[in-house]
Amino acid sequence: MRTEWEEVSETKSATTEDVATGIYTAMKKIIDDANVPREQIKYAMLGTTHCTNAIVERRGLNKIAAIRIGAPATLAVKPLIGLPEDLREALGKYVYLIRGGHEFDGREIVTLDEEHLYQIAEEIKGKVDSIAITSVFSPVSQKHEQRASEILGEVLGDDISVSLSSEIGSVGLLERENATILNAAVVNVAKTAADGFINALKNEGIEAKVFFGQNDGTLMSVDYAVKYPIFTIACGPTNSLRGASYLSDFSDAIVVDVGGTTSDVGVLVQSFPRESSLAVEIGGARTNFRMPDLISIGLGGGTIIRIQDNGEFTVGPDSVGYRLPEKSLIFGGDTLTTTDVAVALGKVNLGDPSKVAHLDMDLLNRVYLRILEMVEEAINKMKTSAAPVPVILVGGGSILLPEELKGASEVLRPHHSGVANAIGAAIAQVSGQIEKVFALAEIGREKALELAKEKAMSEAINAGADPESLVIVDVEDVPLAYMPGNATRIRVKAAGDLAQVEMNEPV
Amino acid sequence: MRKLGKQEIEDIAVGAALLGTGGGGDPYIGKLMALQAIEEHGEITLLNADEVPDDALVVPSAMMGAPTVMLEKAPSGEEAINAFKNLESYLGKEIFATMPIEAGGLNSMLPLALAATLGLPVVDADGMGRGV
Repeated sequence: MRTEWEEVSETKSATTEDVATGIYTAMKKIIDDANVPREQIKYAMLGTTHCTNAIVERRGLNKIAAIRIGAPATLAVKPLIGLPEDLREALGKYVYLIRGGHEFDGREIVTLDEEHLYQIAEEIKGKVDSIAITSVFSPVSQKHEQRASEILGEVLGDDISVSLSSEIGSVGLLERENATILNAAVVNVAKTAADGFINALKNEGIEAKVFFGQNDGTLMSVDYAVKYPIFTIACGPTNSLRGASYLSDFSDAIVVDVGGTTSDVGVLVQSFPRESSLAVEIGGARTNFRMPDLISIGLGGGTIIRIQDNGEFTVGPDSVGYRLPEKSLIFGGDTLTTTDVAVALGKVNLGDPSKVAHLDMDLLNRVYLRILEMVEEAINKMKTSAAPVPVILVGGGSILLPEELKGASEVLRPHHSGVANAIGAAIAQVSGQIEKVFALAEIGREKALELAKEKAMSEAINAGADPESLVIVDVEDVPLAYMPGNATRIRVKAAGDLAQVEMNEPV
Repeated sequence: MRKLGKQEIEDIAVGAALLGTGGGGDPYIGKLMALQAIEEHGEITLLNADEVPDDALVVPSAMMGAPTVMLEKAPSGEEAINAFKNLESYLGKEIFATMPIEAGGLNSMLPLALAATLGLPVVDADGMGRGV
């Protein structure tokens, strides 16, 4: 992309086992195609779902220890209790519950059991490579988590990565703890992805500042991403939605992202994804992250159509996925897919149409209508009123869909819609966020908001934002019922443009 | 009489969310307490009311206070156990079983967790037919 945000070149490339090769292939191709001098590339953004996939597939996870500071409270619900068995098995080998933690107002429940921490450190020495620490009410007081981290560092050295819950989630012990444990579990996965990306850039002779896309559609620095990889887990759909907004120039619309296996339907509100208000599960573990509100349906370009002798048929939910070029009929394969149906009906010009010409067109028309119904139903479910809204189609599989859809005021198919995801990552701003419980009786609301804003802005600057362009994009304060001291949870988010890096000459 | 295992707890939690009728807190933490208690102590015995002897002491169990605090500072599990032990010594009589006082929200689950931990049966009855 150029500085005036014009897209210069696009490419897609399949993921590879070692991450780096896939990134390298795509990067080499795009640089060659675009014919951009390498030294003029200033930024490189990576939106990756490696961490998400690792959690969902329970693959490549770190050996972790999970330490909760809170006993004698919280013993009735031990760490990892609500998680699926296979995830508990993968992550639950070294779980400790030690004395300590705070009350909502920052008083200690009991003194931190430092001796126990030294014991644990000796016990897990050499057996784990990542540690998750969660203390009761740590969003109010981080003291015990920080002290615990110091002790573990003292015994185990700096090579062990430590994830502190107060830096990852907000109030809600179990959800925050799960998120922290998952974060600890994907630290190496994130490192591999980051190293792969950085090495690929280096091999190409590119000296660019590297960023990672995160859940809310903003960017974080690579150091931050490797420390908090859990913040990358929802960047995929978020980037697609942001990219769709950018490419179509629409700020409020429904976006249908059709991939090979599934279609995600989301909603754009003022150019950002509408967020889900429900607790979000990642790989079966409940967390309190904010994620885009999405409906996923089992319909993509590779979705398998099965036709029975009596004329009944099914659409998916399984798919040939990335093997479309070898499996589908139009490419000489033996599996009838949604893409074959669209080609046979003349909706799409792809592959060899003569290979599907023998099929029963009436039947295929019915299949196609069913496909449309699935998409239209998903669109309808996401709408908050009956009024028709603009619908933006993105993703490689969106060629299946027609120019008109029920419930849509218009159907947009922006240029470069196949790489909306990458565009979303490239246009992102850098953000910083803070969420904390303040006792307003002590410092007053004004002062509390001021403190929160300052903290959010310094977080954003740390992540790579230009201090000049910083704005507070979101403020939310929720009084906590039943709690004395006028306790209020305040959440502030600041976002700004990428800080300029040294420029030798204007790009 | 029947046994309640982990799947039954999952099912009861879904019903308890509906019967919470807008109050009583999310049964989620209570569900986890019950699941953990079953994991550690085994399944729960559920009794019909007519299986309870006429002179048996049945003590309903529940917690009160702010569900918000429980979001962060989960119970230790000892709270209800201590209450039961103290009540037994005060009354000079052994508690035969427990039962829910409200069959909705968080308090639908706490008697089940307590019953599993103490090895007491739960009576299939409740005080008000919903959460408040």
